[in-house]
Parts: sequence; structure tokens; C-alpha cells
Amino acid sequence: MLKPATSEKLLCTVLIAIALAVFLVPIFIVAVSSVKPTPIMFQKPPSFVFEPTADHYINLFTARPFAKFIWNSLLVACGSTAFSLTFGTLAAYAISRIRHRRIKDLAFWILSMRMFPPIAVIVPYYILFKTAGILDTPLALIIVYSTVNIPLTTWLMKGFFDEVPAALEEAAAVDGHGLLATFFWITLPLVAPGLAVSAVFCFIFSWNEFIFALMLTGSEAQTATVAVMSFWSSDAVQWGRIMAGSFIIVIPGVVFVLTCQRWLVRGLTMGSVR
Amino acid sequence: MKYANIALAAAALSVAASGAALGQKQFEGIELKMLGIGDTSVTRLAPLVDEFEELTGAKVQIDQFPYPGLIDKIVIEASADTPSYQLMWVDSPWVGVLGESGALEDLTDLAIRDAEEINLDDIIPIQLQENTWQGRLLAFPASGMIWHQNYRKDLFEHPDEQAAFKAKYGYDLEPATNWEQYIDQAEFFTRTAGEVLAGNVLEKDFHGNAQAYSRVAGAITHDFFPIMRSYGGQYWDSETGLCAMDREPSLRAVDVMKRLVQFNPPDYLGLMWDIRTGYMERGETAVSSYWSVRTVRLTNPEEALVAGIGEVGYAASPTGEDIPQPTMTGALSFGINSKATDDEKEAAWAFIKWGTSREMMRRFAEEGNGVSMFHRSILMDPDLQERYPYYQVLLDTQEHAQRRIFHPFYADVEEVFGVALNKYMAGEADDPQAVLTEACNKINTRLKVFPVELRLRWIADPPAEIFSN
Repeated sequence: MLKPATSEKLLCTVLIAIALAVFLVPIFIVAVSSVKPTPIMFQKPPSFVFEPTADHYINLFTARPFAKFIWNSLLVACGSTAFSLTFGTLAAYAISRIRHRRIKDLAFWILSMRMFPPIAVIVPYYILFKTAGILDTPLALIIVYSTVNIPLTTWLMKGFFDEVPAALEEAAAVDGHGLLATFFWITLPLVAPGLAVSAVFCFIFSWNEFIFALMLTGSEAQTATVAVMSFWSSDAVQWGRIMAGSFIIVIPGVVFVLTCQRWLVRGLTMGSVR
Repeated sequence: MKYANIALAAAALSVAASGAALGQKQFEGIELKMLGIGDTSVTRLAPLVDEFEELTGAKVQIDQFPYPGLIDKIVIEASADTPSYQLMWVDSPWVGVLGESGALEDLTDLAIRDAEEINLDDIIPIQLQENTWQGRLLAFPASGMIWHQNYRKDLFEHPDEQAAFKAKYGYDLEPATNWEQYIDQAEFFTRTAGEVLAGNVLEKDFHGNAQAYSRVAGAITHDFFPIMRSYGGQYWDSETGLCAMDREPSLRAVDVMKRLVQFNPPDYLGLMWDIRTGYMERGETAVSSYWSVRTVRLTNPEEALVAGIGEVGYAASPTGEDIPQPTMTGALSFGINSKATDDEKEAAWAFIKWGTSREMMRRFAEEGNGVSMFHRSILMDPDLQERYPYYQVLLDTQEHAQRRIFHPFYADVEEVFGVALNKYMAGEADDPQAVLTEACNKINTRLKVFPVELRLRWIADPPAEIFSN
């Protein structure tokens, strides 16, 4: 392998620095603004030297029960992720292994679940959940998000299952393992990176989603994204609180992705080289 | 009708009295939820709802949601037969959509029945009219808005500035009464760092004016429409019910806004509601026109640095030259879900009466909580006027204000004109007539699928029937 020239190294470093700046500057602005006093929030040129204030964070948690909203978000995101991984993975395994002339149609039908514009199904969902008595509960959002996440998981995991040689499962069968045992002890560990990728996508979608959460929740199951935006009113946008809330919202996503990072990198590159 | 109302009131009183005699409160056991917002009209009231429960027995919970998307949530909520929310927070331009969808209970009869109790005669009529649809009252004002101008009074009264202005423009430096004066003042006060302003050398640029040019949430249209109306412009053609916002008054309004661009901050295209008002709140602009709901911050040093830098003056919005037109109003209001049960409706009405009462508004004012007022007696109160110097302006301007847009296609107008005007102000289009015509055509394409009779009904604004009693 050729050693890169100094100029190439420098170019790479500069490009990485630019990329980092593009992605990190907005987070930096959010972090700085979350401790900036309101009267100088939009001062031009922006002031970076100021006495930081914790008021926005204090107001965020005292003006409204923000801790409860974060808990709701966690509950909904984790619930939907677990639900989607369970059923999406099983569906993907079935689609990958079953040989039937209509199986591709079934797979496409599952994918088509993602093609609905959310606004088209909000009213039916609202009426259904209202009738079932689960409106404004985390369960309603877990169900809705799972209808979006299960197709994603199914299609992602199908690719990973396709990569696992059928001979391995046949060998397990010869050794006396049943279908379930083969699936759980042989196949599933081999697609762990795929599970990590799916989990990250499901979690991030459920954590960030706004429209369904706005329409299908009240104060009981309101999620953090809706709660943060609720500081946008008709006569004022409480930017300080929005920034403080946004900064807090970023944290669980980052922690979750970092936790899955080891499998994530492997999962994202798996199958790219045969 | 009069006797029926008296009988109804007597029946209500006797029911209340019998409840009281049993030691039971009138609305004991009723739970109300409000589909609300983090607006001052709600946040000032939210901590006090226990007092209402103490008085009436009804428990009230206020849920707060973001302004964007709230109207959709209200419409969806009204589609359920058994509502989760009995009380709705309403922005007055929404009455067209909500009225047409039947989402809100008609409050006309209730307001007439309780006219004395709610001091109906003390409420500035345009604030009630603002909440009507086809003459029927669909919501009740909780905060009255008026479009007016704020200016740096300390700069306007500085002798050096007064002399320099008179020498340059040939007339006295006073709050602008027309848009040409407003532009002159914006130009005059635009200074760069190092220049002198009111005897002080500026450390950074000072902007003559700060208006909203952002397309976000239609912010630019909030500034455009009052100027258009001040030149005598109308939203709709009275013969066809189609868009009329591409005519001479609109062109003049576009011209005013375009000429003001050079006196605005460099980020003018991103200036939306409170980013724009922030310039006045920090004392970084000389003149700015906007809704009075933000003006209430200007006397509070905790919310506005300008209170510690200089002094803000308040005046009516400028008009077109020689054709004085009244300015534009708005209202932030409470309504009742039409699907609520009769008991819930009665309790919800009691809550609205309590939360928007003259006593409650006075309490807010005395406690220093800024709410844009709509009772004459409060705005005329000498003690409160001294404390809130903008009260007289709110009173004068509201008495002669025009109603804001209330068409069911209001959101479309904000979106289409917001983008079109923003593009023109950014220099992406050259011909203002073409820009306005194209925007109107887009609106008309959506409107023409409806019969002309319906379109004309949508723009009709008969006087509220509560005034006829």
C-alpha cells in the first residue's frame, strides 16, 4: 500500500475539518445559544463572549414538565425500535428464506407502507385511537412509528439474511437444531450488525418524529420534539428554551449511536466487498 | 328574544343557586381541556386555573402546542364525535377555516345573554368583529392585537438629530404619519460604525428600520398587508371573490417595502416575527412597525435591553399619503369545541368569561404581565397609561382599525405571497406587477373550483350580530 504524500494528508485533513465544521457548527450554535441571555440572542455580529445563563434550562424544566416529555420520547423510541426489530427481523427472515412466486409482491407491499404521506393517515389514526381509547398514550405512537419502521427493518434485514449462506443453517439442521434454534443461535448472531443499523435508524426516526406526535398526543404523551416546538407561539418564539431543549434532545441520539457504533460500522459496510 | 334571554338567565341563576344551597359548585365534576399554545394570552392564565376550579368546581387543564400545526390539530380534534378538548385557542384569521368546518361553537347567544357580566360595551368592537364568521361570534378575545409603529423616542427628541433631519428633509422629525416619512426616517437614522448618533460615536452599524422580510410562517405578509391596506388595498375582489392583491395599492406597498430594504439589517431576508422585533428590543433600530403583542415587552428591562438604553415611543401605523386608512387589527382568542357536551360548553363559556374578564385583564396589567388589552376602561386608565405608555395608541388605533384577513384560504395566501414577496425583496424577480399577478393567479386557481356565490360568502363580513342587540 502506497503511503500518502504530505500534500494528500493535508488535503484530507482540511476536507475532514470542513466536513466537521459543516456538521458541528449548528450544534455549536445550539449549545452556545442555550446559555446566551435572551436580549442578545440575535445580536449582530453574534457575541461569543458573554456571561452564560442557565435560565433557559431552568425555564425549560419549570415552565413545562420537560423531563416527562423526554421520558415519553425515550419510551416511544425504545418501544417502537424493539417492536420493529422483532417483527421486521422475523418478516425479513421469512422473505429471505421462503421460496414462493408471490414473495416479491409481499415484500413490495411491506415497502409500500412507507410510501404514505403522514398527513393522509393522521385523521384515520386519530379516530381509530380515539375510539380505542389510546389517543394521547405512548402506545399510539409506538404503533404508528412501527408501521413506518417495520418495512425499513424488513428491507434492511432481508439484505443481511441474504448474505448468510443457507449451508450454515442446513448444517445446523443436520446437527439436530430446529428452525427457531437455528434462527436464534446461528443466523441472528451473524446479522447483528444489521440489527444495529436497523435499531439506529428506527430509534432516530422515532426520536425525531414530529407530525404524528403533534397530532396524536396531548399533555400526557407529548414527546420532547413537540414540547420544544411548543415554545414557538404566536407572539413570541422562546429561542432560548428551544435551543436548550434541542441541545438536550441531541444527547440521547448521540449516546445511542455511539453505543451501537462498533456494530454500526461493520453493518454499513457489510456486503460491500465479496 | 329578550324575554327568552331573561328566562334563560333566570333558569341558569336558579340552577346555580340550588347547587350553592346544597354546597355543590356549579360545574363540579366537569373536566375541561384547552388546546392551547405558549402564548401570553394562555401562559398568564395557566397558573391561575386552580382559582377557577375553586370558584366553579370545573377542573381545567391547558395543554400547550406549537403554533405551526395547531390549526390542523384543532380541525382534526373537531372531527371526533367525543372531543378530547373542549376549549380551543384561536388566532383570529383562522375563524374562516374553523367557521366553515363547524369546529367552533357559536358564542353569539351566550355573549348576548351575559352581555352585562362580560362588560360587552367596554370591549372595543373590532376585537369582537375580528372573531366573527358570517356575523356570528365564534371566539372571544383574550388578547387584542393592533398593528402600529414603535420608534426610538430618545433619538427622535435629540436636538442634534432634530436639526439635522429638518435640514435634510425640510420638515420636523416626528413619528411618521405616512410611509414616505417613514422611509425618510429609516434612511436618516441608518448609520455605519464610527458615525455619530445622538451625540455618541457608534461602535457598530445602526439600522434605520427593521421589518419582516422572511417567508417563514408568512412573516413578510404580516408587514405587507398593513401597508397594502393603508393605501386602500383589499384582499379580494368584491364582484368575483377572487384575489385582488395585485392592484395599485399592493404595488405601492411592495414599493415601500423594497425601498426600506437598504435601511434594514443585512440579514433582512431572515427577519421574522421576534427576530425582527429583537432589533427594537435591543435598541438597534430607529423605527419598526409590528403587532402590539410584542410591544408589551418594550417597557420591561428583563425582556428588552432598550428600556435601559433609551426610550421607545409609540404611534399609529403610517398610512398612504393623503388617503388615510385605518390600520389592521387581530385577536388571540378562546373558543369552544362545537362537539363538546352541553354541560361542558356551559362550563367552557364560564371559563372564557372568567379568563378574559375585565377584572382578570386589569389584574394582569397591575401585576406587570404584558397582555395586549382590548377593554376601553383599562386602556383609558390614567395610572395604567402612565405605566404602559402605549395604551393610548392601542386605544386610538383599535377604535378605527380594519379587520385582518379571515378567508378560509388564509394559509394559502400567507404561503404563496410570503414566497413571492420574499423572492422579489431578495432580487430574484424584477417586475413587482408580475410577481403579484403570479401570486394572485396561484390563489385564484385554487379558488375558481368553487362557485362565485360561495367565494362571495367567504369574503362577506356582516357586522357581528351581538351588536344588533
